[in-house]
Amino acid sequence: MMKTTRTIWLWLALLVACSGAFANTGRQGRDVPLAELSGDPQPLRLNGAAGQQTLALPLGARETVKSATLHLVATNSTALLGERSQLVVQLNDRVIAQLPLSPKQPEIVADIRLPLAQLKPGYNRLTFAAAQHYTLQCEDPSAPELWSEIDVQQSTLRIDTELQAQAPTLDRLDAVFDPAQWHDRRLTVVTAAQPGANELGWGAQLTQGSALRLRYQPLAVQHRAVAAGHGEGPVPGLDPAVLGNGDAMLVGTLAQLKPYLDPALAAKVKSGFLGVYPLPGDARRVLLIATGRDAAEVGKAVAAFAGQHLPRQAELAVTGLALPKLAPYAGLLAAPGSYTLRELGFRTRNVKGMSPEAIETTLRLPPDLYSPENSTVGIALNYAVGAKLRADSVLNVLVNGQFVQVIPLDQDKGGLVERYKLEIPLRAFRPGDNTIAFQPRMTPLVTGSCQLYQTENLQLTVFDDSTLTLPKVSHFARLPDLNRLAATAFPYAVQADGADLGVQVTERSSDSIAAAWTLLGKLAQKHGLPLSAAAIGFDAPPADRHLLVVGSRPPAALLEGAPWQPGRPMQFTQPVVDTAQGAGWWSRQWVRLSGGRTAEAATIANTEVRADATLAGQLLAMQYRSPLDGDRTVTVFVAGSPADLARGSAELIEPANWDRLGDDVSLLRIGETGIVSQRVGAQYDAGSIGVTGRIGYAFSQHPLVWLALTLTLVGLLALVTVKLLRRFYLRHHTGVEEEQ
Amino acid sequence: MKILTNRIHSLLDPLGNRGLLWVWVGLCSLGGVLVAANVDARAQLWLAVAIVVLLLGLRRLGHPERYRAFFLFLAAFLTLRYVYWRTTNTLVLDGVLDTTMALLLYVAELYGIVVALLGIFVNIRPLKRKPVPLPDDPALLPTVDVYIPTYNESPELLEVTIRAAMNIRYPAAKLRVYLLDDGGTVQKRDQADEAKALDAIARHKWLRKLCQRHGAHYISRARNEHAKAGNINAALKESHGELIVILDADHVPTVDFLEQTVGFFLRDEKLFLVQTPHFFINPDPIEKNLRIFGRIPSENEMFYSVIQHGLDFWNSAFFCGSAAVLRRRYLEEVGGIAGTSITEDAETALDLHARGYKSVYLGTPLISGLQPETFTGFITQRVRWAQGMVQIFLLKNPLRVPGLKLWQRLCYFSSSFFWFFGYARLMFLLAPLAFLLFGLHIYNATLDDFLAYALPHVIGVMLVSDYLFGKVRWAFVSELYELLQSMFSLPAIFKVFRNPRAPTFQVTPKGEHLDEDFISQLSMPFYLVYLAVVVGMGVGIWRFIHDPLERDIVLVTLAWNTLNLLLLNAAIGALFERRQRRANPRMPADLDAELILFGSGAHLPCRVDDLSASGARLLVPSALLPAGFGDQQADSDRAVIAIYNPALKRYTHLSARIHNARPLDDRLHTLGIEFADVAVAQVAEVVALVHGDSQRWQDYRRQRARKIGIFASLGLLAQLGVRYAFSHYISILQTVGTTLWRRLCPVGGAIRRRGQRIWQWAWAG
Repeated sequence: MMKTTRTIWLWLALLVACSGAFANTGRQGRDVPLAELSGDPQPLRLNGAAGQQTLALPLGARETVKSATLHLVATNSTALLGERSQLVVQLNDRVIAQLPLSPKQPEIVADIRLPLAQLKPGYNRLTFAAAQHYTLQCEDPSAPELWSEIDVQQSTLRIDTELQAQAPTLDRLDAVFDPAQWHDRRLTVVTAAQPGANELGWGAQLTQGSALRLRYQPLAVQHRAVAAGHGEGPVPGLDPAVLGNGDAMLVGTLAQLKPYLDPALAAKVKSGFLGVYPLPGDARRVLLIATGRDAAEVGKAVAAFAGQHLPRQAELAVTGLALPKLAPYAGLLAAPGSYTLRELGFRTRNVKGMSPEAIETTLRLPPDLYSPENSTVGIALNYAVGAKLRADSVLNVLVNGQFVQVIPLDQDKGGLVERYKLEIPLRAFRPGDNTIAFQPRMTPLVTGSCQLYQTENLQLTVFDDSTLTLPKVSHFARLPDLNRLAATAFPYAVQADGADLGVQVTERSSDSIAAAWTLLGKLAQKHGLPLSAAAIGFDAPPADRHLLVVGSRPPAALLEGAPWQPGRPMQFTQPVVDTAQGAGWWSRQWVRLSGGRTAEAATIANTEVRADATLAGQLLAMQYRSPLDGDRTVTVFVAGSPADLARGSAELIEPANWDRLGDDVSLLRIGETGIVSQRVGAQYDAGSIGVTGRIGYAFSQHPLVWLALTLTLVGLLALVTVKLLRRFYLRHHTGVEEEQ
Repeated sequence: MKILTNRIHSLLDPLGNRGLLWVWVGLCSLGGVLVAANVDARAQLWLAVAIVVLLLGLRRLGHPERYRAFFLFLAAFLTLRYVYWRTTNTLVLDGVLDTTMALLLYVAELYGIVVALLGIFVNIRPLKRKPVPLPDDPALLPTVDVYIPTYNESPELLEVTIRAAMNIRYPAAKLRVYLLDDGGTVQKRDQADEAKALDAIARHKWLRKLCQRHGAHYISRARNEHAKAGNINAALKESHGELIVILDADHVPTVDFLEQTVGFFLRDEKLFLVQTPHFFINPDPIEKNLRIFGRIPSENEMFYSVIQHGLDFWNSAFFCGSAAVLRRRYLEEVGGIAGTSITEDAETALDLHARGYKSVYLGTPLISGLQPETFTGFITQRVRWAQGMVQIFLLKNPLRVPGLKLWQRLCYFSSSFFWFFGYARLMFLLAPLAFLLFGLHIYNATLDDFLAYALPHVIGVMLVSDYLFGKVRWAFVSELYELLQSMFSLPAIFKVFRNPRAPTFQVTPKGEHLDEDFISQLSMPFYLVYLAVVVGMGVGIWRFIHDPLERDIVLVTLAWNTLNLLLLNAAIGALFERRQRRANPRMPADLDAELILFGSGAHLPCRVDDLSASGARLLVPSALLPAGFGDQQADSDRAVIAIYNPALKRYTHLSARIHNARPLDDRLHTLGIEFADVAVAQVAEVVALVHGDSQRWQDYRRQRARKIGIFASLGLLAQLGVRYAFSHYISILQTVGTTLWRRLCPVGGAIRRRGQRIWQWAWAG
């Protein structure tokens, strides 16, 4: 027994030692459920005689794959004919495995090694193609029993990657912050020992620059203050521990950093300076140094980094920087008019087959997009379609996954169609990113058993000179709305450079600073541009800006009117739509028939719980009207402690949480997935829709008021008219006797 | 509520007219904001439903002044809301054909809406005057000349009118009646065509004698220049009365014509015109062919019972060519009756209004006239009106003529602009076909939009029409009349646009006899449109079944097309001309009478049931008839009848012939009598009896003025359409069958004879 126990301890020690060694070598292995790649927990279903599904398999540019194994768990129909049915797995369109689909053994479990040579940096195509038959004779290729399903929860990809050691250059920072990378994205920003507003701003810009390179991947940063020690390379005077075990950035004025920098490097700093080097002690990671002789030069250096496009060199003297003057809503499709799809980033695309992938184009609409019900987006589509398609062939048009329009592909002779007009209600679009998908469904003219299927004619091309016409839209939104913030960074990103944004970090703790940077990085990702003009500091920000408050102790002055205030019992409510009581039958019918609007329409019965709840282990996000300026908005991210705040914000920016922010209060329980949102405070309007727009909006919300006003006005008009007519009568017809 | 209203009144009362007008303009601007408010369709729908329900409720309250304006403005709100939406949301300018058709329909709708809004303006406060009594002293009365212009009317018809004019109660020394004969001018008598010249000479002599016989004056001029206007202007130089009464040849005045009208001139020195209604005692061809005369209000009642009262309030009642009194002084000031257009009457009124003179409309019918008997005659008349009013629109546009007040401009504009209805009507007929047959998208809206905007507007307009004119113009009757005229008035209007001075005065044929039923020669365009609409129905149903995505649009368009089909059915029915043998139309009467039979000497108290210039129908108690009366009665028998004559306020004794006697029921017999004596005195009595009593015409009008509701009216039209269109088509089949039979008979006979020969040959062996 003793011996057995000792043996176990030995194995454990070995395992720990190995894992440490594994970590030190920069290798990382992960079991990734395929659901993560598909973005959908539902099984991948392969239907018909030739069902096919493709997943995107990312691979970072500085990663080397050591091994990759696909653990496949699938089920096939028991009606399949074993001799002819098989599942083919392809990597970048090359077959890497073939599996028989047997009716006798419908459960498939297989481990497939992916050929490493086929894996390229970027996004690889992992395709599952099923050849499925139920008879050796002629068959119906769309028979419902022809199916297989891949369980994306149980199927996993075990991928073992290693970061490459290489001499970094500034332009390759895009590869360092690569959204396709499997390895952990760890970033430490090191500033002066006593960070002030400058350091806060520089770190924010560095974080945003990194987050923007990562596009949609969350980036949680850490903050460290410089500490003297025995370092290597460009920072011989810096304690290596402060740089952490990921990528690092050191920022500060030359005076602040000089004690830690290599003198030769320090001597090069004669302006704003950016330098990128292998991280001392780990050549697979990088250290970016952003400095300058004074704060202004450092600002130029970090702004240059945030601007993303840098030359292929390791060091850069930033002598001047001219940031473009961007109009509000820059980068968004905000002005009415016609745009070619090419201008929206779309390129002419052709698809083939019966159910090819949808042809997609994206457009970014203003975050405070408001349009009346009858506004439509016009699309004049130029497309070419093959001849001899069956009459039920169609081109479905989807906006953000919702079917909105259709074009029948019923022209026997096919051909080029120019300016096919589509009108899509503007309300089908949402603020921020939108996807318009053209999904062809083309059927061969001749089908049925024992028929040759001609599918080469099933082709459709959408040309990029097609146009999209945007109507006049207003900028108007109902706030508070954390969901809108999460999707579009509204209202902080109306000014393209964030000139409307004031950030206050409520304590100088590294955790709080890191949390603020993390959140700003996320907002920059949602905005698509760095918020370089944001005012960031530890003190009260300018009152005429929308405010973002991050910390565990938000100042009381800023919490006036907030839905939650520290020290006061918090009210939790459980909303229940009350259908049994409340308004009378007529009111309910009116509400139902007039669109069943908002909270005042359906009676909400709130279960109120008042308790002295604290925020320990939780992060609370709340939004409300700014107490400093009634036209502005405050969003507060607060947690029980700075450590909770840092951890909570890192968790909050994960898509599973961030996308669920909503209403005016959202609560994240740190360490748990999921977020709770609810509306507590009052709503208010932001933006302007003009007088008529405002009237239309108000009357749409309150049709009874509109009716009452109309009747009153018409009544008054009638009254004045009658009075005028009487006066006219007296002037022109005095003494006239009339019949009764 | 009352306190609030009083409070508002106390705020408004101190304001001057200008101030009040500014308040009105301000409220209209606010109303514009509400109209243009871009509110969601669902809220729009419920607003519209609420307003329509309110309109239905208000309709039941009748016409109190304060509700009337509220009612009309609510409906106008629905219409303006529709116009705004229609303009900003539904115009699809895509593709040449779609765009063209969409714009054509849009313009037609705009036309309809402008006419509807002007209608609200005109009719917001009708002025229904009572006559001004004449002074007791005859010396204070002005001298009056009665003009009866004629061109080709029969002497029999003219005799009645002349006699009735002579019957008018007015000091004889101050009344002169003139027959203005343009059919017997020197030019006519000397024309190259001898037969026609002889006709003109005979007419000239005949009418001169006729005038002498009745004490009237015959005037004829040298040349037929400027038609009716020229005829009257020529007469102005030969007479001297202070007031001029103008009567069409068939417009027979009542005895109190001048008693009712002249008083207005004595009261107001600036008055140039007193117009009275044109009251007709025979059906127009549409009433005749659909057999609705007397069952529904006459078509012209809307104008004479409502619109002219509305125009009168705005001092814009205009001269309608006859049944009117004009002040010579003002007429001469503008050079007599105007002749720029072929509607010289309205044009003359426009000129005089522009000089600041006033007009009056008296709603009492003081003449009884004839309408054209055939559809061709009807169209001739209406095309003249349409062309004349469009001439005024182009040559003397009321919006530009100096001197008119703003309200007069709007009233005249309304009266002339209305005549473009042919265009709108044709577009409404073709628009659904453009979609159903050719798939043109000319109206970009969903069913929800249609329900929220278009339907409430249509209902609002119909309710306004019903509210203002319901008693005198049943729903969809306007549409039927306009539809029937549109095919002919539209090309005529185009001609005016091409050459505004080209149209010439066409005399409306009246007093025609139709010996048998026949299909109007103007039917062809209606067949074509009917065929297209029927095919459109079929295609629409097919599209409804096979095109589920467009079902809502197809459904709305089909409903529209169905309404067009119903109207076309009625139109086709109206184009089947019914025979018309009676020269003098009979009108209902209810008068005391006593019939004295020459044969038996029996005195039969009876009632006159109907009456015409040539005879009457009597209701006689069967029990009073002599035994064997019906058997003994030959084709005719002499009698004397004493009838109470309300116009003369005494009994009139007339010689008569009894034509037929039939039992009506168990108690009564009907006796048809013909007035026998042709002496002037008896003619005067008969004319006074038949045409002299204005109260009788008033009663008759009142009796016909009743409301039946929109759906009942539609049902009636549908029923009439089916019934008489069927007769029309049966007649076509009969004609085709007869023609074929006549052509095939000789062929059939030859075949039969040949067959017989073969049979005989075979039988013979």
